[in-house]
Amino acid sequence: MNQRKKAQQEIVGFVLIVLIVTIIGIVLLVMSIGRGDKKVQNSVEISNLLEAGMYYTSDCATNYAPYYLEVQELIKQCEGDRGNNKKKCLSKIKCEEQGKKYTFSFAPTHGPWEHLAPSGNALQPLLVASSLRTGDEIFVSDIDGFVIYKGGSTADCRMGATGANGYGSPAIAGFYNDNKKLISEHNLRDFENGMKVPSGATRLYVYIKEYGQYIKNYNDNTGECSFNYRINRQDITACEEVKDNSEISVCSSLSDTLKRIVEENLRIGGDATNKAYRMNIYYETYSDDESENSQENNTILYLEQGNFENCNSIPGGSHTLTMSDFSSGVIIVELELCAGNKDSSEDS
Amino acid sequence: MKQTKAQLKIQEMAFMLVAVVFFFALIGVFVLTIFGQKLYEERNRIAQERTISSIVNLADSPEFRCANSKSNCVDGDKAIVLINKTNYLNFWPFSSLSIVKSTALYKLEEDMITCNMANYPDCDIIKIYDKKVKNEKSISSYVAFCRKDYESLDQEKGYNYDRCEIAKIVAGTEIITATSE
Repeated sequence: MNQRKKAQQEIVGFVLIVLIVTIIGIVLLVMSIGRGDKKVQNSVEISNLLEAGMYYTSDCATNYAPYYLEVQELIKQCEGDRGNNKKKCLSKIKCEEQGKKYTFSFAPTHGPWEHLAPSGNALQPLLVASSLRTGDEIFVSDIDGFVIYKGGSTADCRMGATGANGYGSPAIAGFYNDNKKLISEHNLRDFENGMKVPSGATRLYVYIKEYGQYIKNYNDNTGECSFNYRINRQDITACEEVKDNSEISVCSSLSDTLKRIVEENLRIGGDATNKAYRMNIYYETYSDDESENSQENNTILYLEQGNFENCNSIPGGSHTLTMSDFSSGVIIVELELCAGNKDSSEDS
Repeated sequence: MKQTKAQLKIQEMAFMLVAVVFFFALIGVFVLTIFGQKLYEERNRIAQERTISSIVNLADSPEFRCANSKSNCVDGDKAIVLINKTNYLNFWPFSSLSIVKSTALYKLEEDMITCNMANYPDCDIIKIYDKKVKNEKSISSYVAFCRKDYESLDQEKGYNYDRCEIAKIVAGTEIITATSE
């Protein structure tokens, strides 16, 4: 009887142990799966965003404005300039730099707006300054050159007629508004001591003037006038803002542009569905050598925002850029999001 | 006595079998749950990819695609002339088609400025067409949105250049249910 009881107890004990071990095992398994690093889910939408983002026109031009680089070109240029930060974007000059001297020259076939066809045959006058404001001060120096008329008369660009017949104008500067309406007209030499922009004027043009029946004879004129010009603007805020932004490197411009793309298109942080993002751009060679392909060594740019913790899911995408036919590798752009709730990848 | 011992052994075996079956059943249920969940997610993902790829194909169609063989790119200057072209109402299998610029992605629809010839490109949404169906599910995908822009160097001189931004192409599909038929 004792033996039977003992055996029964052993069986019950064994079953209990099996049950306990099973339950503990399952609990541990569930916890380990719940806590483990989420696998990045490949999202076509994010890959599409990256692909579209590669064509995004940045504010950076390196050859000439307005040839602004696309993001993919910025990445390639940044890759070539990695670590040096030597390659800079060109200045985006919207208005003349304060006090900087500019040299102009023009042929005497350019007349005032009033002497263009049909009233005359002058070519349009030379635009020297635009976006002028009342009170800006303009200085001209080194006026040089001659105007030769068909009949043989000549005129000095600074002083005017030099011939016996007294015909010929010096270089003239006219203040106009944006509708090409003349506000006031002066000899160019009058600007040598400075000339304030009159009220209503927004542009300064320079030209030669024919008179009377000769306004249809601009095409006969030969010679050239040249001069130096500088301006002291009263309000230089706009110029300074542009100047501050002009000295950034292509890599900084790339970083700014990519941040703008991600933040404009995917809401990150705060109440948004996406808690964080990280973007990695790196160069990968075709070689199998792991040391050559180490991401740390080959990283071109790494961006992240927010905290990649407790993500419900991690949708991500990538895009590959080829360097050139002769390159030994490709550039890979990867973007991962930390989604805060289940619908975030769809919302994104 | 012998009979009792045999009964005990049978009982022992029965307990053992119950425990083993219970153990494997638990593991089985657990594994099935995980795989079932993943299968469901995968199904949804593939369905979404298929609809998105159909939109990418739309962006690459001659009516929209950009010059320079850019993939997944819509030419805004082409799209703007397609507005209200009735010929296209039955050309694409969508009940509505529009392009929303990224600057307006998070605006309410009533706050968006609808593009027309007069305000383009300073607008938010290009509505190619809308059949105004009752039940509609919209799918969207990111595309590059490029257009010719002009930058003046001064009042008289300037250059044309390609300016690309990001937009979402949004296509609506009519949902037909038994009641709606």
